Amino acid sequence: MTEVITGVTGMGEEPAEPGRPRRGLPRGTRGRLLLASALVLVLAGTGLGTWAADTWPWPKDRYCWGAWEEDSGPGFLGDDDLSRTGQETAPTREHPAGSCEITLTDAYTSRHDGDEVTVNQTVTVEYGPVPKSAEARLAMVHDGFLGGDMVPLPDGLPGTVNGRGGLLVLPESCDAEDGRPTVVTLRASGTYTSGSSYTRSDPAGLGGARQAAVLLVAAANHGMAAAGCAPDEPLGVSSPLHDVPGARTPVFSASDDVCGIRGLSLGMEDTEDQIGAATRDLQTCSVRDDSADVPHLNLAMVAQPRLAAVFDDIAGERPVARGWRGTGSLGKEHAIARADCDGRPVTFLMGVSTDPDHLAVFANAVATRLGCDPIAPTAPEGADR
Amino acid sequence: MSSTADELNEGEQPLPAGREPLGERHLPRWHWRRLLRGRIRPLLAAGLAGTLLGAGGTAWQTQAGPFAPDGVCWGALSRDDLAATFREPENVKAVEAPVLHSERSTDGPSGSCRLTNSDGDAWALTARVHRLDDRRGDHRTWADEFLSARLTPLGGGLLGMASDNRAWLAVPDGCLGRPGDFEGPTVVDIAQGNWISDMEPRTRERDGMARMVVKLVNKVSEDLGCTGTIADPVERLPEATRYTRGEKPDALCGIKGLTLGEKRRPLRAPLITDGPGPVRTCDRDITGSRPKQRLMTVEDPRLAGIFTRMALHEGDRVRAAAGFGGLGPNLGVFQARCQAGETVFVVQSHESGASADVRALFPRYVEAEAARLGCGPLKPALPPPGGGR
Repeated sequence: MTEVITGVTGMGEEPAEPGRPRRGLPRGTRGRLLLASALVLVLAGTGLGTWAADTWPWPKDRYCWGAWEEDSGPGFLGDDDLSRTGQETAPTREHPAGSCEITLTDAYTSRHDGDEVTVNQTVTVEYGPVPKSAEARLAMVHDGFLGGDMVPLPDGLPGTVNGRGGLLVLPESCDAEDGRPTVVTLRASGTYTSGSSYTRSDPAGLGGARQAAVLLVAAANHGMAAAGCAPDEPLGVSSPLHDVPGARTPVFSASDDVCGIRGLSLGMEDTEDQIGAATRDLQTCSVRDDSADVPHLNLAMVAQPRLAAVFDDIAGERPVARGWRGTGSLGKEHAIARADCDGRPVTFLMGVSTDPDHLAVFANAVATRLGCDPIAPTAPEGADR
Repeated sequence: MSSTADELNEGEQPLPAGREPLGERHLPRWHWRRLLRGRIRPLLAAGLAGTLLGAGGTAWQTQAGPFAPDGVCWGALSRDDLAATFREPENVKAVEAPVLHSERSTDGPSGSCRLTNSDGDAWALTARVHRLDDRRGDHRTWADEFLSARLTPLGGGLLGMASDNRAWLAVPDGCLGRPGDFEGPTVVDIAQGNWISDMEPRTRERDGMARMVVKLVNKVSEDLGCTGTIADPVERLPEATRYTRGEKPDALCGIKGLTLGEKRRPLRAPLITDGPGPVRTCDRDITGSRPKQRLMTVEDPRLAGIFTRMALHEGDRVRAAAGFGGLGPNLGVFQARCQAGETVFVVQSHESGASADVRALFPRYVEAEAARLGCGPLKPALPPPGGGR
């Protein structure tokens, strides 16, 4: 850019001889003058054009295996106030796992109170098969991406999204050799620190949940291409986002129901619940403390076939307990149950709490909504619930 | 470039007019042709060309002038789109109020568009953009018309429905955010002619209305600065709603155990919303312009907000283990939090002297529908007749 500007002024200066009639210029000079003004015009025109159309011909930085271009939309790719660095490992055919991370930093002295302010934000994409162990997998997928603040990806893509990240399950062609599905995850995080005492969460701006879905799918397409398992047609997002998660709703008394399910109560004060999705394919609900952001209960139902495939080999061979339909297991921090419902396998997940009664009430209520038989043994007739 | 020609011309300038082209020789000094002589001509031509190009480009960019799309209703509908609804689409006239939206306004975007054919107003079609809320008290009429069992849910995660003379679709949450507790979504709705008749809706016309409302929402969303395009919903739609023949007196509206006694037979079969959707409406005994009874479950929590004030204030207070509601002489309404969120159950009568029917149907309807949605057990306890809130 600087080169262009000096070039133009240099040529413009040369014939500048004020007061001299133009007609009297020798032929060579006049030719040069014409050439110079033509060049200036052309350059100015192109410059104006590129500025107007925002298509500056110099290459822009690309991130995440070439998936994202600088200045292409969301704030974290275009905000010039923050310094931006990228670090990435692309998946390959031999080693189909990778990650990329964009770090944004800023440090300045607050004009308001003179405190030193530092902003540290990251956007992370990870590509790879889901973890082998059941606990690690549930911690990653359920705790990370199936909370009550998540909604389904648009266009029926198997996965979830919100304004701070998302998860996409890749097609079967990208499955690991042992059959574990490969997933791509996107996550924005960050902190804002002022002085020595004040710190708050300040995640990088992904530009809203729909933009997050677009970023996630772009990264997935480039990751799949690098790993050599891309489908013929790249994945795409065309629809708008029809739903966003419901608001966090206070649970007024300890005995009140949570997640809109009669008989499901935690007996805790000062909680709030949040319902993300409640369709035939996906249901998410979380209960947490209303002041500290501490989760008390995470519940999810997954019936979308490709998303449910993530839990295929960890639902066990035996029923959760006596009298339960299907299979499942109660782990240390997570519980899983899987049973046939309305003609397809449905997975019920519970996190944070491992009280089997909570899972039973949840699974049975969802089964009723989907129009199938109870999953857990129901309370005997006459029992007060 | 053409420097030789230019230089030649320049060289000629100081010469007497003797070498001027024939015809310009005796022109008065200020004649335009004389003024436009010589090197000024190519410059002017270039300037004119540039101006034209620039103006053309701007017009093309801003879709003005000859590049303006030949669309009506905020540019959303082409003449072809009108063909499903109007016999002479090329003669349809539009009167439009633009969609206005201020970030500071609490009312949401609003605008309207009225299309009329040259052969009279009987087939006029009105499209509106407005936010549903019950502050203005118009939600009851809106619900009567647009949540009628004649409308088919659009499916595919869309919050909208269509019949052969009514259709509505919410602007996606991802665009304007999710409505609050006492609000409804911002919708585009279209209406043509009388809202109800006892005829079954016609599928072809219903499809046309569904397509039209999707096109309108796509354009309105785009103008609001939102991304994403809703695809044509028609392929997945079932046939338009048909009367449910063979209603059993002990299973009114197809709900087991819901009865008014064996002896009373309605004149007509009920019309029930077809397929999963934002509402399940059962309109019973449609004669003339209204159903005698409507039993409706509002399953989408985003629509529940427009009934919340009604549930809080209608008639005498109804109690249950969860939720709240009221029972009046012609209307019972109950709201509870279910798996999808806030859910509203409505039993409404348009007959006089039907309060006993409403009273008999209401608690059983709420109980049965709550059970269907996995929101039970929910057994509303009615106030004694004539009791206060």
